[in-house]
Amino acid sequence: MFKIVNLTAKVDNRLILDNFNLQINDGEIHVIMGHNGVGKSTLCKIIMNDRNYEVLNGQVIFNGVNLHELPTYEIARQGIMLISQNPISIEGVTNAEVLRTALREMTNEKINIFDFNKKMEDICDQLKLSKDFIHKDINVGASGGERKKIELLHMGILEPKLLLLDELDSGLDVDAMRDVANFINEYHNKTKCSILIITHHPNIINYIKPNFIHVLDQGHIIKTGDAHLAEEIENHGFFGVNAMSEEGQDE
Amino acid sequence: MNKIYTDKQVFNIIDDNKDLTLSLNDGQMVVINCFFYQIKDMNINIEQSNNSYLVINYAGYVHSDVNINMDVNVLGNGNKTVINVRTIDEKNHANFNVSVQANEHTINNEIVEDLKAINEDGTITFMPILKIDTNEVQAEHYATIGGLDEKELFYLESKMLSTKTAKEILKKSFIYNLFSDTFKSMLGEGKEEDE
Repeated sequence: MFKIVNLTAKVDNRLILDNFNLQINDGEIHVIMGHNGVGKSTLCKIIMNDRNYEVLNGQVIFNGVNLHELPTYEIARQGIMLISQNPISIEGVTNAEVLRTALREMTNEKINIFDFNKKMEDICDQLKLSKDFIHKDINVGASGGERKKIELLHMGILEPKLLLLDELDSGLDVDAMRDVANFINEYHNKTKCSILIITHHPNIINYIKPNFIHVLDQGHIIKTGDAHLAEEIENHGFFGVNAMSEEGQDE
Repeated sequence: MNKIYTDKQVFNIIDDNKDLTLSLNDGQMVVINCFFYQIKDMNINIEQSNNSYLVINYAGYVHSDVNINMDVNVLGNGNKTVINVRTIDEKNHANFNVSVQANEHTINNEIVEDLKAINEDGTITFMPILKIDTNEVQAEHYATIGGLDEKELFYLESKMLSTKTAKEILKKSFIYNLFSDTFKSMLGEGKEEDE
């Protein structure tokens, strides 16, 4: 289980999260939505303990482990993986090298290169991603859609238990979105991983069906619902949903 | 129009800090790859006459106080000079004096000096010197000294790589990325072996 308890955090002296709470049970898919600049992507980075953000209060707990006592790589080794909105490129470092090194460090075992390469190639086939990327520098020369697929290639090898998908649909055409969603859905069905999707547009919900949808505003979740909440947002916008939730509070 | 150099020579230097002196013939292309697991004092002196192309790729690790002097004298016309330096200093002092001179009355020469260092706990001094005695030259020089990219570190750590390993990978790519695959294979890089 993944739990965020009363999390308050800031960056550049600006409060981003204010008593934020969230619980994701094993195997659940949650979506957090909100307008631009409200702190959705920041939440993901804070979960991964990005040094640029300061946690003032609260806890992030995964399977009983307090994540904020851990450096980023230990959080990743607990089984949490972040796929960013705009994955960076790194010259001189190939995808194969990073993944092989990560597996070797994790397991302290020798890696069979043949099996490793075969698995990478199989995942590329599933994603309809050129196998050339396996031995290319990370995301160098890759389009936005290819970068997302490369991140999913990493996911297929590192096998996380909790996926943080930050604006996954950003930069994807219809076909790429379908390929990516199919891969994630298959992975979820096979492993029963938990997923947290961050988005400002309800479109992705057509491809990956969530258990819960939350609206983030003013540093915390102001409304939670099911897929119907996405329809409300489509019809009334975030400010409309916010107004409705404030009316509810007045009553 | 791209120039074609029919006379091309490549010098590959690995951990040999003997002073190097060279004169390029007219129309010659020379690539000097220098790699040092431990940089030591060294002097490189090159002369270019006419229509020659010189590339110096110099990279390595500083483990003791060092002085490196590179001096290129462009005597004629139509030459291209490119000097790339990549170095990592963890706790020592390194001085790099990189000088290219374009002499009086010379024309149509191009000069690029690109000096980069990752400095962890030492002191690096770059002196990129362009001595220009002519009005007809294209010259650029860059000198950057900094640390590892925090975003790249975070990215690699989020893929389960320990901080130590992530830093080693980034430092290695910083150094080795300067070189061609051929030279990298001479250094034992780029091979994927069954472990």
